[in-house]
Amino acid sequence: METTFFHVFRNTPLGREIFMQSLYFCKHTRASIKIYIPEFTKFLMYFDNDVVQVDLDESYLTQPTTARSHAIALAVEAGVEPFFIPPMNFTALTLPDVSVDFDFMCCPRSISDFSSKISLGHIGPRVRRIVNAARFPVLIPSSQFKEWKSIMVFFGGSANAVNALNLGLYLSRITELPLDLFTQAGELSQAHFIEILKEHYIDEEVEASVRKWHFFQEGKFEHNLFDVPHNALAVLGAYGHGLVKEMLFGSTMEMVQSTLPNPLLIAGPNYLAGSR
Amino acid sequence: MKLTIEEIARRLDLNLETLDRWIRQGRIPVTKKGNEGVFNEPELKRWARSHRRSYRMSPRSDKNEIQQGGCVLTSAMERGGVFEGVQGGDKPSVLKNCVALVPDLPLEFQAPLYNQLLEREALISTGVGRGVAIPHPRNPLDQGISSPVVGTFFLDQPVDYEAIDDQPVFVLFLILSPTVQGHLTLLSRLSYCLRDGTFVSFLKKIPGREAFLARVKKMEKNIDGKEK
Amino acid sequence: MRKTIFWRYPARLSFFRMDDRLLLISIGVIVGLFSGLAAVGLNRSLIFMLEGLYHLRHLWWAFLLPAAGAMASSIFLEKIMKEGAGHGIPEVIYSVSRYGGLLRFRSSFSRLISSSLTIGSGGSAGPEAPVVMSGAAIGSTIARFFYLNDRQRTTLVGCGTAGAIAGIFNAPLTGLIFTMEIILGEWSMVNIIPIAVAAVAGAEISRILQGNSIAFESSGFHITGVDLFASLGLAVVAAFASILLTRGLRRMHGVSVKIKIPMWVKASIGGAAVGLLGFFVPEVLGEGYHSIHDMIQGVFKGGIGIAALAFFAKIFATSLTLGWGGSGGIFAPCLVIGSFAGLAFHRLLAFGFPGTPLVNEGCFALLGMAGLISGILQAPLTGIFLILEITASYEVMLPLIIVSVISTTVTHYFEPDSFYHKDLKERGELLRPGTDSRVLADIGIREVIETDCITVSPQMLLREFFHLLKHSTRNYFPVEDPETGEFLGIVELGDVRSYIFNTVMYDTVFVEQIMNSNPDVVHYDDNLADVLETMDAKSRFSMPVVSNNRFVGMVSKATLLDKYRDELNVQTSQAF
Repeated sequence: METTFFHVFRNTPLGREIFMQSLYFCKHTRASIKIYIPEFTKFLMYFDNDVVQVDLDESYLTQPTTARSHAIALAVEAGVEPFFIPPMNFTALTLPDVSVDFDFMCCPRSISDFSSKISLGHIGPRVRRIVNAARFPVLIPSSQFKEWKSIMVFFGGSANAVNALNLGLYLSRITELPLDLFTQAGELSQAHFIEILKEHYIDEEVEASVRKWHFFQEGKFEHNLFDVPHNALAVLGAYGHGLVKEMLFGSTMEMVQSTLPNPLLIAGPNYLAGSR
Repeated sequence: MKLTIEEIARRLDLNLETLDRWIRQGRIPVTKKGNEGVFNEPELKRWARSHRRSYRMSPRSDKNEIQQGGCVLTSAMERGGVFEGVQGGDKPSVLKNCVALVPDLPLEFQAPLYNQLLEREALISTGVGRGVAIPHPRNPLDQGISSPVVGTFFLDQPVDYEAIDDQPVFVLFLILSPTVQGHLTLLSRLSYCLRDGTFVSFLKKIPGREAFLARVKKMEKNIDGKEK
Repeated sequence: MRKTIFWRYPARLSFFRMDDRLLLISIGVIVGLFSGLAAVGLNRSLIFMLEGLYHLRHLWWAFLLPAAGAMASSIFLEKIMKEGAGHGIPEVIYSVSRYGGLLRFRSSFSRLISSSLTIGSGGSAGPEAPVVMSGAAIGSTIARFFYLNDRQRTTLVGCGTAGAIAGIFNAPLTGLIFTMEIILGEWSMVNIIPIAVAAVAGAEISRILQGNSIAFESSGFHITGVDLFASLGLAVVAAFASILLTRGLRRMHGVSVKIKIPMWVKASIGGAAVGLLGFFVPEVLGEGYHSIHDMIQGVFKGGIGIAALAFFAKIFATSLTLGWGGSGGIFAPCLVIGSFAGLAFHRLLAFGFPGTPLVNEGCFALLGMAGLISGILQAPLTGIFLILEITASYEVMLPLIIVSVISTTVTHYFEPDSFYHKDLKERGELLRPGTDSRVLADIGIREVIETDCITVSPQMLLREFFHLLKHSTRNYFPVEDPETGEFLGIVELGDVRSYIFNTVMYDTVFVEQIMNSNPDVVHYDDNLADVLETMDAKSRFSMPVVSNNRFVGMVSKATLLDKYRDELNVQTSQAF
C-alpha cells in the first residue's frame, strides 16, 4: 500500500519553500505526493464528523498557466514523481471537494492569511479544525526549506502523545534518521512515562530506537525547547488534554509552534498509528 | 463486547476498509472507540445472519484441507494398510475382500463402498496396465472416512481385470478420499510413482510393508523437492 | 488522557446502538424546534422589512431598494460569510447523498440573513429555500455535536428540512413529504417517524409564535365536471409555465456568468432591474403572497391582459433576482406565477366560452400553484399536499391531483430533471440511495483489490512459467522488473493456453514475449463506475491495480459482484 501526501500548491516563491519541504518529506518517507493546483479560492474537505471549508487567499491562484510546470520542475529536481489531482466532485459550481483519503497533508500555519504571516505566527483556526478532524497527521512547514536530519517527538504521556510516538518510530524506521524524545515532565518521574510505554507495548522498541531522551523536570518549557536541534522534524500529538483545558491553559501545540521554527508534524485525535 | 477492528473484520470475513466505512456510515451496529469497536455480540450475530454473512469465532479451519506437499501419499498409505495374499478369483470378489480389509471402515459402509467401486469399474476399468489397478468409488465418500486413505492390496493370484493392456492385475491401490481434491492429489502422486518402471518391478517382488512404505516415501520426497 | 464526555456520545450507549429510533426522535424534536424557529425568524424579519420600507415605495428612487438589498446580500454572503453561494438545496441533496449530510455550520444562519436582505428589499424570491438550508444545517450541526454516524445525521438533516418547511408554511405534512420526496429521495420507515415528529415540532412552534392561521383561506369552491375537464388544460398551462421559468432562470444565469464584473455589482444591477419592473407591475416584488391572497379570494383587479402580463413579469423578475446573484428560493415565486397562470387561464376560458359554469377563478389560481410546484420540482405529492395545507380546501382534491400529476408528466418531457437536481445530474453528482451509482460510489478500490497473484519476471522461460501454474490460483500473472520491481505488463493465461502442450516453445519463449506490455490499469483513486465502464468497453473481467508504477493487486468483476451485493444489501436494509 502506498502512502500518499496531499499538498496544495501555491505558485509563488513562498509557496515554493513550502512545496520543497513537502517534497523532502515524501522523498525520505517514500510517500507519493498528490498535488492540487487550486482553480478556486475555496474547497471543502469532508471528514468523518466535520466539513471544513478551506479559504485560500488569492495568491494560491497565481499564474495558473505556469503552476503545473513549476510544480513538475521542482518535483523532478527533488527526485519525487509528481501526481496531480484535479477536483472531482463539486458541492457547488465554485466549490470543489477534495478527497481526504491521504496519509499526510501539508498545511501552512495559516492557510488563508497573507504571506507575511506564514513565518512564526499563530496556527489559523482552519488548520486546527483540520488537525482535529483528520485521520492523517498534518505537516506544518517552516517558512524556509531546510533539510531535517533527525526527528524529535514530544511525548507528554497522553494517548495522542503515544500515537505521535508511534508515528515518530515509523518515520525513524523508514527514513533511517535518528529519533529523540522530549518530555517536559514537571513533577512526574521518568518511570511514570516508561510505565505508559509499557502499557502500550512499545517500551522495548523505544529503548532500542531512541537516540536521546531529553527529559526535563525543571525549567520552563519554552526555554527547554532550545535543546531541540535546529534541523529536526518535530512530531507531536494535538489536543491531548481535551479541548476546553487547552483553550484555558494553552496547548503544547501552540507553544511549540510559536517558539520553534522547525517543521511540525501534528497527529490529531483521530489519527491512529498503523491504521494504514 | 470490545474487540479491535481487525478482529471484528476477521470474524465477519470483511475487508477492513469496508468495515470501517460501514461503522462510519452507521450500517453495522458497532461503534468505534479509538482502535476498537464496541458492540453487543448477539445483535451483531443477528445482523450478520440477516445480511447473509457468517460470524466466525475461531480462525478458519477447513477440516477438508489437504496438506499441500509433505508426503500425503505416504501418510494415506500408512493409514490404509498394506496387505498381502488377498484372496479372490475374479474382479468382484477381489474387490469385496479388499473392502472388508480396509481398516476402521464401519460395517454399514462396506456394502455401499463395494457398490460404488463396481459402478466405477462399469464405466471403464481401473486397471492401468502392467498389473496395477487403482479402484476408487465413483463419488467421494462423504461418510465413513475422515481423512484420505490408500489401501495397498497384493493379490494371492493375479486376476483378470479387463485392464487397458489386458494383463492380469496383481496389486490394487484402493483410493478413498472425502473430497475430490484429495482424491486427485493422491491419484496424481500415485500415477507419478507408477510411471517409474523400476517401481513397478519392485512391486512385483511383493515387498514387505516397511520396505514398500520407505520406497514410496523416498519417491514422494523427490516430488516435493521438485515442486519447491 | 483525553476524557470522553459521555453524554456527548449518546450513540455509544448500548441501548441506542441497535435501535436508535428513540434517540433520533428526541433529537429530531430539538432539531425541528430550532428550524421552526429559524423559519419564524425569517418570516418576522421579512414582515418587518416590508412594513419598514413600505412608505418608501412610491418615491422615484424606490427601484434602488431591491438593488441595495441584493448588493448587501451578495456582499454578506461572499465576503463576510465566504459561503460560495449556490442555490442551497442542491448542496443539501449533494451532501446527503454522498457524505451523510455534513453541512457547514455557517449555513445555519447565513442564508437567513442574506435572503431577508434580498427579499425584504423587494427582490423576487422566496424564503423557503434559505430556511430549508438553515434547517438542514441545524440538523447537521446538532448531529455533529453528538457524534452521530452518517445514517443518523442524514435523518436529522431531514428533520431540519421538514421542520423548516413545516414552520414557514404552517404545513407539517408538506414538510414531511417534501423531505422524503426531494431531499432524501427515499421513503424508509426508519426515517419517517423522527422526520414527522420534527415537522410537527416546527409547525407547532410556528403556531405558538405566529398563531395558527391558514395562509390562503378561501370561501370554499364547488367543483363540477366542467372544471375537471378544464383542469387538464390548466395542467398543460402550468407545465408550460414551469418550463418557461426553468429555462428563463438558466438563461439568465448563463448571461450573468459571461459578464465579468464583481458579484455584488451584478446583484445590484439585477435588483435595480427588478425594482424598475416593480414600478409597472408591483406584484413582482418580494414574496408576492399578497397577490396570491387576492387571487384566491377572487378580488384580483385587472383583466386577462394584466394577469398574463403579471405572469411573464414575475418569471422575468425571478430570473433576474436569482440569476444575477440574489439570495432566495423559487418556492414562493412558483406559487405566485402559478396563480397568475391559473387566473389568466380562467379568464381566458371565461372569455372564450362565456356561460360555462366554471368554478370561481380563485380555485384556478390555487390549481395553477399546484401545477407549477409539481412541474418544476417534479414532485407531485409535495405540490398536492402543499396546496391542501396552505388553503385548507379539501374539496378541490380531484382537480388538484389531476393538475399536479399531469403537469409533472408534461414537464417531464421537456425538462426531465427537477429544478434542484438538474445541476447535480449534469455533474453526475446525484446519487440516490440504493441505486447503482450510489453503491458504486461508496465502494473503494481498496475494498475489492485481490492480492494473491504470483509475479513473474520478464526473463522467465515458458517452461518455468508453466511449472508455476501448479501453485497459482489465478489466471493473471503480473510481470515485474526483477531489480526495480516496476510493473512491466501482465500475462493472461487465456493467451498462452494453446501453447501449454507445445513443448518446443517451452525453452524458446520468454515471458516478456507473451505478456501484454500495455494493459489498461486501475489506480487507487479511480472511480469504480469508470473502472467498470472500461471493463465493459474492452470486455475484460479483471484489471491490474498499479500504484507508483508498482503492481498492487487485481480488481475482478467476480469479486465485485459479491461486494456489490453486500453493499446493496446493507444500503437498502431498513434498520440494522
